[in-house]
Amino acid sequence: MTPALSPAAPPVAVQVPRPRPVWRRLPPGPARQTVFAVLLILVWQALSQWWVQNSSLLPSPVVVLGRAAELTLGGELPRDMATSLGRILVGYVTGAALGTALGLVMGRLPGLETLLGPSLGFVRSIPPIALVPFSIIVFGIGEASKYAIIVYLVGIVLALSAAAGVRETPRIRIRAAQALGAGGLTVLVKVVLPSALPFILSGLRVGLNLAFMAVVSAELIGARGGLGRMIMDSQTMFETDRMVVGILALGVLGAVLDRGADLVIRRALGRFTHQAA
Amino acid sequence: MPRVTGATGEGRGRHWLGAVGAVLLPLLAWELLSRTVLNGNLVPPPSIVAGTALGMLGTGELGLHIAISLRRIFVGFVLGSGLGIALGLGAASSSLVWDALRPLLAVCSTVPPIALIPLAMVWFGIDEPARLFLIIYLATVLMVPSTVSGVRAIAPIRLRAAESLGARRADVYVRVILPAALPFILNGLRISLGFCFMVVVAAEMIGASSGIGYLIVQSRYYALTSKMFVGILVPGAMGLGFDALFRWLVTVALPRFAVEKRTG
Repeated sequence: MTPALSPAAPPVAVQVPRPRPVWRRLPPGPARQTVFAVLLILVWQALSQWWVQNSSLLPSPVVVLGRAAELTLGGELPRDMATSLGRILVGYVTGAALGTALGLVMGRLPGLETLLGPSLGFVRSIPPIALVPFSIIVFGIGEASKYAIIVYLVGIVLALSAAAGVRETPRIRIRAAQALGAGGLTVLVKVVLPSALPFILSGLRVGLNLAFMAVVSAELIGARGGLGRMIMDSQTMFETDRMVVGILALGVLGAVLDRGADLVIRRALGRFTHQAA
Repeated sequence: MPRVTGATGEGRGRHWLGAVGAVLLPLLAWELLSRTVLNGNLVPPPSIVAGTALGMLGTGELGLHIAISLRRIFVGFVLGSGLGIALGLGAASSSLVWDALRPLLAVCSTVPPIALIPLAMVWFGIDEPARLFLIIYLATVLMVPSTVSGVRAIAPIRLRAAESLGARRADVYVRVILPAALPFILNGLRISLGFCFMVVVAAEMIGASSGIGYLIVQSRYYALTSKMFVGILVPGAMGLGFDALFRWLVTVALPRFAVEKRTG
């Protein structure tokens, strides 16, 4: 307003904007991330082509892609993927069902939880791969030993989270149902189970990750077929390109499983999820 | 009123009894089962396992394997966590760094670290560097996201308050951002330590000539199941111990930064 202040403004406006460097011209976000991803692959290609120059140490992306196509068309990659996926699904479903049942019972009987809780917590802290040799001794080298490891891991996680969910059920809800004449079973199915569901769901997510990791461990140590076996075999035969294909396939399988579980849980049981946090 | 436990002497007494029962009863059940129903050669009773463990402690065999595994974990954990926190701070303050790291992190977080053991063996052989690489990699990959989310969780009003009071950029970092992100970083460190532990045992099982993981595989080859059980139970106890130690450190040494207090 006052003329004394206005002259200060123009010099700023007149100043010529400095040309921004190339990497700053891209808007931040997915577009720039894609550029960086492409850049990363180009660097990988350059490294393996001009610096390492040894395909059994660092196969180039082109070589890996070619090998992936060959393994897919030959049927080996889909077969190994299906083997690993089958093991995960069988073990996961069995373990989740058994663990949830145990957890519900444990949560309703505090005495049982006092007795079993600490041992389950201890057993949970054992690295799953350490149990693979034991499982093989008891259940043999076949599929049973792989299922056993997954059932055991997933089962413990679900038992602990379901029990926590039951324990956190607001007592007023149970009392309200009882006051309205609900019996023990009705309370368990219609009040306790829905209240515990957010905990069970987050246990299901954690359990899926563990099942995935356990199957890889079991296959690395000793198995017939599966992506973990494929990676380990490639290492013994120095076929690093095949190994990288296996590792990336595992990543894809893990991402698909994770997204799939997320989608199913949100679609089918969306109203139970947001309470979990 | 009768259900209130812990406050009265009687309640505390019962709690203590429950804890003892929780340790003794499963052990007793295991002892009885493996002496009757199960094959004692495959599932040795806890008394024999304990005897084996004591014997191995006496000869120094167990102590040696534990010390070797611990040294592997700590060197890699310290280096990797430092790198991860530094990268995380960088990524949180510059969208360019974040966008550059994002694709790499996306790949690294979907590939299970155990699957990288064979690759590490191709690159570094079966000696120490392979294990070191794996742990540094794992700790770095795990620490970047938790550091970033710690920095991002800071209320902007705190940053603005510091800035309007004339704090320089370095001051803002040291006095506002780092303390506020610390609970997330500490929690990330605790989780990361657990994973490092798991991967070290895995790496020792697949290719090593010492350490707890090697002990398990070696006893399996010689069909020494009670020795194998020692190898299985020791990392469980160590993992539990570290977790408790970390929680204790966070709540006792750094009570301001305890995660439970802030988030729970």
